[in-house]
Amino acid sequence: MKIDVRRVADLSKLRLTEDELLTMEKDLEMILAHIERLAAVQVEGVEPTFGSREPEGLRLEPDDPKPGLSRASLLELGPSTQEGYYVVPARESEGRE
Amino acid sequence: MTERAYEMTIGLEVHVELLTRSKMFCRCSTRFGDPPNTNVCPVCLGFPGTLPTPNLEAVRLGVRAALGLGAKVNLHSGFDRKNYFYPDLTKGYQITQYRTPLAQDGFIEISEPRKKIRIRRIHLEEDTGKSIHAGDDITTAEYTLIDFNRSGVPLIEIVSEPDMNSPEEARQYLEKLQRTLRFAGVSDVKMEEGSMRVDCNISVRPKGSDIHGIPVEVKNLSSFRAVVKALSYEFERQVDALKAGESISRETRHWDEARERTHPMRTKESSDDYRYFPEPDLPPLILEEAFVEEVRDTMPRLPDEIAAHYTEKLGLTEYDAQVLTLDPNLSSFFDRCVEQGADPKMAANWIMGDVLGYMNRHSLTYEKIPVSPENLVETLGLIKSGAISGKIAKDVLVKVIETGKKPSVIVKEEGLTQMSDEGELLAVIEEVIAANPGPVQDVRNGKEKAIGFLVGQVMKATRGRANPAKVNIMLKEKILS
Amino acid sequence: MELWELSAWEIAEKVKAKEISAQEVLEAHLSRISEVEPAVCAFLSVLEAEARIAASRVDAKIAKGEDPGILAGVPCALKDNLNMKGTSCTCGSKMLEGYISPYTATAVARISEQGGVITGKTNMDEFAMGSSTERSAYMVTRNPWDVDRVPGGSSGGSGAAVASGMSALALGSDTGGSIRQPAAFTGVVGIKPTYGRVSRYGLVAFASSLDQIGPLARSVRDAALLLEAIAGFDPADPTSAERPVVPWSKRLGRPVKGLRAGVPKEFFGFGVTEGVRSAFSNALSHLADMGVIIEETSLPSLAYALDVYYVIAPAEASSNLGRFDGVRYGLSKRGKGYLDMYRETRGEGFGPEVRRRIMLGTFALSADQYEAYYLRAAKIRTLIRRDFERAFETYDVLLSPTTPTVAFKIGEESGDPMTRYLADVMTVSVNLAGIPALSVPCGFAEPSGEGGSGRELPCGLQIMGKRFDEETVLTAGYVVEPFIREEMEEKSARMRRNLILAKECEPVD
Ligand SMILES: [Mg+2]
Ligand SMILES: [Zn+2]
Repeated sequence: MKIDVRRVADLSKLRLTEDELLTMEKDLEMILAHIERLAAVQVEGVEPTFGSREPEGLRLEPDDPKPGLSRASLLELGPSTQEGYYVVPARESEGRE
Repeated sequence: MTERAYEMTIGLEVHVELLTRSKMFCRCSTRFGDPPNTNVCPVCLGFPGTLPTPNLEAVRLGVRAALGLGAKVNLHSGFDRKNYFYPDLTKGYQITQYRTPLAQDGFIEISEPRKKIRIRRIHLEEDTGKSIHAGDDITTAEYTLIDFNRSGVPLIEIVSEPDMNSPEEARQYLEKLQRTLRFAGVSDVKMEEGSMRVDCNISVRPKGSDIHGIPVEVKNLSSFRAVVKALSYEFERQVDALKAGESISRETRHWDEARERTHPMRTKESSDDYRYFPEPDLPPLILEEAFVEEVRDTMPRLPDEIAAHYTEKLGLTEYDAQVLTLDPNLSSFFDRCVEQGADPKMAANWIMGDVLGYMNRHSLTYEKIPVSPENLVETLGLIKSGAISGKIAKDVLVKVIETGKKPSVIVKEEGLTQMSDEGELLAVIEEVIAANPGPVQDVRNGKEKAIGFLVGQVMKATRGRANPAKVNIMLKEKILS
Repeated sequence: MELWELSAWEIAEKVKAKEISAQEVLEAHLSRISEVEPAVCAFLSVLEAEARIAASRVDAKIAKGEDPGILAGVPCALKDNLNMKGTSCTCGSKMLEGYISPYTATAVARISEQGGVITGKTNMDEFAMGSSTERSAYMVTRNPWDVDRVPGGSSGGSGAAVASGMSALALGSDTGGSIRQPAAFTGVVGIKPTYGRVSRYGLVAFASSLDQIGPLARSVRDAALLLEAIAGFDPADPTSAERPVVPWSKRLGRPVKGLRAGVPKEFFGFGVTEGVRSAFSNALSHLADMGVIIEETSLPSLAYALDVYYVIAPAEASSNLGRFDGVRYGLSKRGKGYLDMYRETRGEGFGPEVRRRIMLGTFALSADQYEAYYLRAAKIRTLIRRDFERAFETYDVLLSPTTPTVAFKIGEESGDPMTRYLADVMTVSVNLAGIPALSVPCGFAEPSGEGGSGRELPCGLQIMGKRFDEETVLTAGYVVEPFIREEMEEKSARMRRNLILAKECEPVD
């Protein structure tokens, strides 16, 4: 299985060096070589299991607003804030626009 | 080839915020306009370790919207994760419904031309926070401020089939959709506050061709006017491109309101792959038939039904019925006037003319109809009984609105009662005849128009209080006898 | 006997009876921590001040004649992926260095409500991804039985803290074996409860459909006691089950005669070493002597469990870790644009193993791979689940060794990630099926290839049960303890003494 590590790293939003990309490619291909075995399993007509089977249906909560946490206590954990807002760089990325 | 040789196909994706008090997956308030980041908690800020707890009312309103749009509710649906990175998205994914939507196969009927626009699916999801770009605009700003009060507010997304063929049809679809959801009490559907957001998919192809055009998505539309303009612009742009032999690229474009044009929005460096998968934190959404039936039974009346009632039972014109069902507050205002004994036709005229006219001049929304049904009905009663003239009534209504006093009080305080006493009127009429020998002669000579002038003089002299019909008769009697 | 040597059960009884105070118990443990923590490196943070307040509250309650709860005065350590308001929660990652949690996990709140005293946060493989606790961004925790060996992982800090006497109880989390494997490696009891039994609210998610919080303790009774405190419905977790909590700690000791136990033969295809195999057979023959009916059985789809796990867990993890973006908390590297912010923050904040799993999961979920990997794995997961359901029609419990080997040496892990992942081969299927499983020490074995070294390390017996049947699992585990009680007491006393002499560990660079 060939894997486009650059594309996957981009989707994952991980900056990897060229060396790291190479190692990553090797590792992932090694893992995928094992997992390939799954392709041989007969799964026709089998329903997938995605998660919990109990509770059987989603419990829905009444629409009663409750106060959240104080802005100050949450914002103080933010790396960059200003006048009650979180601050992030506006541009998509460097060297473009 | 002319542009008429091309046709466009339009499909709309509309996001609508639901009128719940708390958010979709936490119990933070959904109140609009609060200071930034004051309605937030670890859940809607995506703190590690938190889990979503879904809101019953959001599901109920979603079902109500679905029923109002004639869609089939799926008793088994579920939530999925849509994974992407954006600063106003707190978890790195949005919880939405991808595999099975809450409802599917609905429709909206538009009138010109009369046709059904099919709705493919209606699904529940959560809203993102709001980005405010510091600086001039998105292209020059250095940094972005983020407010997460909106993060997690419940939304429904309504996806139409590509059944519209002109910007005007799109506008009608949106107007009807907005109206229906408003009457259903699902959302306040305000584009200007962002509680309704529209993305358009438009494709263009030579007329009669059976090859589908390449769909282009247009975003950032903040009004129906913008939708119409953007679609018209895109049609022309794509026709020009096709004529020049260029191919259309499948892309998302941004509507630039100021420059009235669209431009490509995203760089193609990382094309989207949302890696949808079933939300492992949430078991499937299973609804009981009885729940859906209860929602159906408690469904408020919808505009089409109300309009039919107005034309069939109350004798209003189709046009009047449409105007009065633009908004639930407006139609219930009208209903209350009729309930309190107003003549439907007369009430409709006064509401559409004077009341809405006043609201327009003062930029009032339907939420703030400035007069009570009682006071409007009383004003109409004063006209009917002949106590005041229609002309006076217009001023009385404005005074009622501005002072909050009852119409009868205003009429009494300002001495506006119609002059019907013959003795009083006669004195004025005689004065007018004496002062206008020319027109009087004209009347004698059979010139009907002159009588109008003389009536006008009497009205002027009485500051509008005279009963014009009576003055007319009395003038004729006096001059011709 | 030192106070830190007492079982959780005894501590709670004595504290309630006012024989000892919660504060005395705490001080004994704090001094034990200062004594051996330098050699074990189990704690990322010790919450001395918070613990002293909690202990004095327990004592005050008792003085007033109020019920202090079932964990009265019992020290408990938390794996560092459990949130406790006002304390750090690093998840063993640089991504959350310095982060102070703004809220408390339900399981943690329940411990406090029951009079438990939270003493600290324990080391773990970064974001619970690993089986050795070597993949913490902060330090390598050592196995108290042999400080040159790993304690297992990812709840290795919790296992080491309990085994070394620094804490009577600890919470871990188990996504593919992360409680049971370190329990086996450090010679303690660990339980992965039924999925939905313990609220996940406040546990930093690794793989949402597999994660469960569970206890590590030095005895089955102590583990049952802690499970009793933390289990039960929680509206804040939509996957939490509405099942009544059983007073498990009081139900132990029932006879096991006639209990039907299956031994799935597939587990022995996974490279189980001779020493582990013999400890396991030994335990089986003891159980048979007590009247347990033991039969070999087969769950054919178990052969795929590890592969299925290594699709599903990374897929869910890749999504769960999307929230670490440098905007609201944690590490943030600011470039000119927000995409740079993401790439730099995540590239630097996540260690190599976490990055590898994010990449693997992103790949498995990408539009053109979803069906071949994620969806297919989810279907095979159904087959695994069904195999267990079928087996439980015949058997009350299933038995296997918890791990194929005893604790391996620090730095000995293979370079091939898939070979490393084999450490989880005995445990992952339990998480895929959502059933409960317990690891209880069942003997000692020499590391393979080191025959005659005289160095013996603990082995675990894994007891798997029906969904929500923790009671039978605990009952079976409880009768295993006496087989090795004498040996365990003697060897662990020596181990705990030796620890004081061990050299200090060094921080990871
Ligand atoms: Mg959407
Ligand atoms: Zn919230």
